[in-house]
Amino acid sequence: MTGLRPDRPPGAVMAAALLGLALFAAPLVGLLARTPWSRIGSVLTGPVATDALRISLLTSLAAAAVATALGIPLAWVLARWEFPGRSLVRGLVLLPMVLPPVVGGAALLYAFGRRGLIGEPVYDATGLLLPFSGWGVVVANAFVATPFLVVTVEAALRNLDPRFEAAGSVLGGGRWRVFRRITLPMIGPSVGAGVLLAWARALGEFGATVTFAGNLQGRTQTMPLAVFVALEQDRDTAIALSLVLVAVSLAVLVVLRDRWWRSW
Amino acid sequence: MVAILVSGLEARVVVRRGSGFRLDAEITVPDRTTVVLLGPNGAGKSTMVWAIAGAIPLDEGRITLGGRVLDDRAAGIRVEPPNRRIGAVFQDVLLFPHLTVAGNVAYALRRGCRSERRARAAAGDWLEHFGLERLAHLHPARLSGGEAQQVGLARALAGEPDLLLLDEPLSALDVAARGHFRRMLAGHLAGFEGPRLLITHDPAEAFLLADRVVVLEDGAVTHAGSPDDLRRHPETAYAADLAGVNLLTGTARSGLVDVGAGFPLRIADDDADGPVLLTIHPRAISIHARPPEGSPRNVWRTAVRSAETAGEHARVQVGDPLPLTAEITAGAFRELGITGECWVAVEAAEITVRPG
Repeated sequence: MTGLRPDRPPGAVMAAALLGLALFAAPLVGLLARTPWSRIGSVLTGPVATDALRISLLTSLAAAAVATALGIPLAWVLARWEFPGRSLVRGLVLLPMVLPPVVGGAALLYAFGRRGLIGEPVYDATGLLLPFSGWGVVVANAFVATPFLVVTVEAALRNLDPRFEAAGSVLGGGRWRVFRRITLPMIGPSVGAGVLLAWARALGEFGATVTFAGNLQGRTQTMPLAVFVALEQDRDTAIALSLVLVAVSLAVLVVLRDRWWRSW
Repeated sequence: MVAILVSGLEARVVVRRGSGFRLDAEITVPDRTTVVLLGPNGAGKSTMVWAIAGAIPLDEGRITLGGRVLDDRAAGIRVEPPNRRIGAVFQDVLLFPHLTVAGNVAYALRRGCRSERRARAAAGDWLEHFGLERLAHLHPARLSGGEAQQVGLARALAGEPDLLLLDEPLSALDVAARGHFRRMLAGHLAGFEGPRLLITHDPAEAFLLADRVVVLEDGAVTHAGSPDDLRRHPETAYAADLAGVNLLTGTARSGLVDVGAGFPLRIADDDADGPVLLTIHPRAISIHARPPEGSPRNVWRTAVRSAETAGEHARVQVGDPLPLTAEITAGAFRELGITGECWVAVEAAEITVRPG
């Protein structure tokens, strides 16, 4: 097949493709054109921006940690354990990927809110309340981000030749040791990709966060929320924070470049 | 009650597969004995290995090793794979790609509940024992096929197993490396005190390494006995095909091989030099009542030792100076009217040469 080149696409296809490209390029160019480059340093060190940066960083990292701790076992069970209703469980786990985040936030509120199914008895017993707290942001972020890690890791587990794990078992490793010393290292790159993807998704989370955790500057206002608010009041801050998010997203894409496409 | 100590491996393995395939095989391997499980692809050989190792559950059957029950479907006993004390060289070796050679060996060494650090130190010594210390820090992707097989063998023996399983241990090697590795393998097998079960589809390997041969076809044992036994009394077409393959070892030099027959055999490969393994298919051997004339062939005078006809074919054993099995048509056999003296002819091109 080497040397065989496909024909240049027909003109109409080219035109539509260029229009599609413009759809993605124009907003980015617009953002860059309006960026107050001389003031960007002072804007990003202002109180709103620093609060948002700090909260976003902490909550997204915590959400990535939660996603890792829960997502890997979930992926393992889905990939390796045949039980009735498995596809139903998988659908449930992956639902947040397609669910409007606002709906997810509302659902979280009905579960863990002050009057929620679980939230109420927990509040009555301990006085602990998730919504409108930093931990609420973490839960909302983990809710939307974990499926990305589950999908990536489950695909990796399915692609892993099961004979390696069987060999590890025959050669004297118990289940836990096989998992820790054989399975996990062999799917390591995919786990890394999944964690990065989950973290990036958590960092950009808006709908579920604002619904479940609110928008309190210094407590639950993450970067996307700060951008939304600042658009009305302080355009420079909105643009500067947006640029940070764009830069992070691009960096994640570059790191994931090969892995993410291939795992699909 | 006095416990009866039974040595060796005794296994009856029944495994059903969704596709309608059913493995139902019984195998016994005494201590200090190499049993070769020989069979065509898809006969269930690897399934047998994984079942004995405990990675595939039995549908029926019972496995004991040194008197220890590893599996007993009827009694509901099933020992987990890591507790079976089995060392295995798997098909494709299956070295863990993310661990170095030393890491692979250390993994198996930890069976003795050693700490990770002590296992690492012991792995170095163990590799030295196998003469592989130069590979210790390499990852499996950097190894040649032969090196990987040796590391696989070192790893299999590292856990001080009670049973050694080897699934196609030579298949990953190129032809040139096989002879060397087979001799090394034979040495290690001889040094292992427990039962040894080796799997192959290559009859040459089987006859060279086996104390006993078990033939597995389509999930069932069709023959069990010594290699000689298999040669003399093959019971299926497949076994007959295997059994008839004449194996000779010798020393090659410029197109001639000394096989200890008093005369050299001419081969088609002029470049072969040193120890070689020759295989001659029985149908490639012709037998004549008078000295044949013409083409450049290996021809010598001998006598028919025994013969039996089966349907269209006759299997003829010829005696000294070079005992071989030939297969000729029953018609040709009758026409020849061979009673004693005869001439054997083999084309040089029909002799397969492999490095010994």
